[in-house]
Amino acid sequence: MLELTGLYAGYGDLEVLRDVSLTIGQGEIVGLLGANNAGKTTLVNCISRIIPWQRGVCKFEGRDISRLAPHEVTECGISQVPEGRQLFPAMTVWENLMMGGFPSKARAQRAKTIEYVFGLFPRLLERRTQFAGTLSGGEQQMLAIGRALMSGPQLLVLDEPSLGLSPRFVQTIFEAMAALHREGLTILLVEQNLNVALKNVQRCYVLERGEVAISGRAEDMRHDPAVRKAYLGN
Amino acid sequence: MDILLQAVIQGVLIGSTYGLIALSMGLIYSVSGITNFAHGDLMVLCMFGAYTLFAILGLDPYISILVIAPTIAITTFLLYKYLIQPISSQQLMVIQLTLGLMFVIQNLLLMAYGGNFQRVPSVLDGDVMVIGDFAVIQSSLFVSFVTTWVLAAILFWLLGRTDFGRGVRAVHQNARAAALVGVNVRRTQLIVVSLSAAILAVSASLLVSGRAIHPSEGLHYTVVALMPFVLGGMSNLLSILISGTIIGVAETVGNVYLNGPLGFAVPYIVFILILIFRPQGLFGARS
Amino acid sequence: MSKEISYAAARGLVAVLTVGVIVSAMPEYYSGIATKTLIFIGLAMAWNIVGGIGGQLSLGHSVFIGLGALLPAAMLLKLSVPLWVGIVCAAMISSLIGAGLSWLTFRFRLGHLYFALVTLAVGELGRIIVIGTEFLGGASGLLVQYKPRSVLGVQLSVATQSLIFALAFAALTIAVTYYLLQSKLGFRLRALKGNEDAAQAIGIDLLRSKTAAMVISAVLSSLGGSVFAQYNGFVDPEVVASPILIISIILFTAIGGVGTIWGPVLGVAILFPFGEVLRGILANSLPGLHLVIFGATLVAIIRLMPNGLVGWLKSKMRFLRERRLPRAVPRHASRSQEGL
Repeated sequence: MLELTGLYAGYGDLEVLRDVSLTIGQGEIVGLLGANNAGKTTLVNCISRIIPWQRGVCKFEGRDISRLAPHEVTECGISQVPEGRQLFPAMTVWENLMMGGFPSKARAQRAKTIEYVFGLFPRLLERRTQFAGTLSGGEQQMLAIGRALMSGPQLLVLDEPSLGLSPRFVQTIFEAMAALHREGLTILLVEQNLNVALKNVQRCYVLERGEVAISGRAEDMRHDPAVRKAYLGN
Repeated sequence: MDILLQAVIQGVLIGSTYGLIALSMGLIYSVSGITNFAHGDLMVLCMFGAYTLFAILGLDPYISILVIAPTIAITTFLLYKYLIQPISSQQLMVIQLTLGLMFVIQNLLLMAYGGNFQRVPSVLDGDVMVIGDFAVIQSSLFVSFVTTWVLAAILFWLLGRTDFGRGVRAVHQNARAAALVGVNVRRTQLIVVSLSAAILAVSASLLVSGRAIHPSEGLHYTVVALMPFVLGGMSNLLSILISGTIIGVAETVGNVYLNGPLGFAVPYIVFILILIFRPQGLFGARS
Repeated sequence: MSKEISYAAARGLVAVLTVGVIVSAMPEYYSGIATKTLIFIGLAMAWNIVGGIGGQLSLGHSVFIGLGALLPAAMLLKLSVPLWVGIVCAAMISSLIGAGLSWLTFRFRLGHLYFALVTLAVGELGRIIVIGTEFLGGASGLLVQYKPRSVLGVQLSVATQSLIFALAFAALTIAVTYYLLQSKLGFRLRALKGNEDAAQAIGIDLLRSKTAAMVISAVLSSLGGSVFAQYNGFVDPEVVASPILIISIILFTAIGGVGTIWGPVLGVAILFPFGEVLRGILANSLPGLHLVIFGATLVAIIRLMPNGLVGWLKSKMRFLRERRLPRAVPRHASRSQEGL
C-alpha cells in the first residue's frame, strides 16, 4: 500500500534521514521503532509531506505522492495522529472532529463518521461541547485519533500515542487500535516503548540515527539482542 | 458637558472604522503571523483610487467601493503570493519588505497626485443627523459605524459557523494540525488576506467622505490601526474592534481639550498608558 | 587584549584619515553625498546596536534622532544656550526615553512584533509632539547658520566641519560596535538573540541587557541627529522626527545584512549614494520617481536575498564547497532472511 524508497531528508544543512526505505502492505500493522531522536517523527512528517523532502520516492496505492502538499496527502487517504496530539485548543471536541472531516470527500460522510468515532470512544461523546484544551491527556489522545479517523483514511499513522498516558488509557488506545485494525484499517505505529510496540504490531522497522538499522517480523525481533542494542547502543 | 458627550459619541463612531482597519490587520495576522507595515499605505491607495474614480467618472465613493474592493483584493493577493509568502519564514525580513512597500506606495502616490491634500465629495457631505437634543453627528460617520458592525457580524458568522471559517480558525490555532487534517494552509491564508484587503478598502471608502486625504498619510493610518491591534491582543477580533472605539474616543476627546496637532497625540498617550498597566493589551494574554 | 585594541585603533585611525582625505578632495556635489553617507552609516551602526546585535526591530529611533537634531538648535535659537550643551541635553533625554521604551516593551517577553509596533507608535508620537511644539520649531523647523571656523590657524569651511563631524561620528559608532561585540554585554545580547529561553536560564538578565543596548543606541542616534543638523543647517521636522528616515536606514541595513558589523556599512555605502545619484538623474523628469525606483529595488533585493548581501555571499561560498556526511551506522541485513 505504501512504498517508500531511498528517502533522504533533513532540516537545512542537517541531514536527519539517510536512504530510508520501507513498505506497508494492505491491512498490516507496522511499527516504526527507535530511540529518541532516531528520526521517527521526521520520517512520519516526510510521509505526510509536512517536511518538503527532495530525494527519494514515495508511492501510495501505486500513486506517486512524493511531491504533494500536506493537505493533498490527507486527501489521498493517509491520516496522521501527530506526536503530542496537536489539537485545536480553542475548539470544542465536536469542532475538532468536524475539522477532521475537512477534505471534501469526507464531508458528506461526516455525520456518520462522527457517530462511529463516538461509538469507538464514548468518553468523547460525553465531552463533545468541551474545549479541547481542557481535556485530560488520555481524552486528548482519543480526540486526536478520532479526528484523524474523520477523513476516512486507508492508512492511519500514529506518532507515539502512548506518550505521557496512564496505563489505563494506554490500554484503551491500543484496544481501539486493534479494533480499527480488525475492521481493515492499515496502521503505521511509531513507538518508543519497545515492548509495547512489539506486542501490538506484526512487522516493524527500527531506526537508528536516521537509517533503517533492522527490519523484520515482530515475533522474530522480540528475541533478537541486536534490536535491544540498537536502542541502547550509542 | 455637552461638548464632551458629543465628542464621545463622535469618537465611538469614528473609532468603529479605526477598529475595522485594525480588524483587517488582525485577520491577516491571526491566519499567517504576518503584519503588513504598509497597511495604512494600502488604505491611502484605496482612498486615492476613490479620488481618481471620482475625478474621471464622477463616481461617489460609496459606489466606487464596488470597483476598488476587488481591485485591491487582487493586488494584495498578488503581493502576498509572490513577495511575502516565499520569505514568510523570516518574520523580520517580511516586516522589512513591507516597510519597503510602504516606501514604494507612498512615493508612487506622491508622484501621481502631488503633495497636496485632496477631497473626495460624496453624497453624504455635510449631512448631519440630530439625536434628541444633545448631539449632532455627521451622517457619514453614522454610516461608517453601522457598516463596520454589520461587516463584523457577517465576519464572525463566517468564522464561527461555516466550514471555511472553521478552517481559518484551525490555521490560526495550529497551522500544522490544520494541514494534517486536509486544510490547504497557503490557499486559506491567501483567501483571508484578500478578504482583509477588501475590508480595508471598505474602511477607506467610509473614511474618505468628509476627510481630506494626502499621499503620505499611510504611516499615520498604519499606526492608528496598530494601536487597537495591539490593545486587542493581536488575534482577538472582537477586542480589536472595541479597542478601536477606545482609540477613536481618545482622539475626539483629546481634540476637545488640546487644540491643534497635540490633540492627536492623546490616543498615542492613552495607548502607552494602557500598555504600562496591561502590557499584553486590554484583552491579550501574557505569553 | 589592549594590544589588540590599540592595533585596531591604529588601523581605524588610518582608515578614517584616508577616507577624510579622499572625500575632501572630491568636487563639492560628491563630497556632500559622501558626508551624508558617513552620517547615515553612523546612524545605521547606532541603530544596529538594538536592531542587529540586539535583534529587535526598533522603529522609534526617529525620536532620538529628532531630539538630537532639534533640541540643540532650539536651545541655541530660543534660549541662547551653546550648542554643545544642547547636544548633551538631547543625548541625556534620549537615553532616558530609550530606557523607558526598553522598560515598557521588555519587562515581559512579548515578542519582536510587539516591540516593532510599540516603537513605531512612539516614533509617530514623537513626530506629532515635535510638530505641535513651537519651541522645537513646530511644523516649520529650525534654521541655524553655521560659520566657517578657524582651528589651530587653519580655516575650516562649513562643509569641512561637517565632514569632520560626520567622519568622527561614523568612526565612533563603528568603534563602539566593535568594542561592544567583544564585551560581556555583547555576548549577553547575542545569547539572548540566539535563544532567549536558554540565555535567561543561564542567568542573563534580559531587561538589563536590552536596556543597556537601547541606551547606548539612543545616545549615539541623538549625536547622529546633531551631526545631521549641523550638516543640513536647516532642520525639517518631517525629515528628522519622522519614522520614514529611520525606516530608510533600516532598509539599507537589512540589505547589507542585519546582524553583522559590516552589513550596515556595506548597505548604506552602496545604496545611499545610489539613491542620491538616482535623484540627481531623475529629479527633473518626474519628482519622486527616483524614490519609487529606489523603493522597488529595496523590495526586490529583500525578496531575493532575505539574508542580506552578506548572508547571500556566505551562502554562495558554502554552495561551492559541497560536503557529504559519512555513514554513521553500518547497515544490518534483515534478520528474518537469515532464518532466526
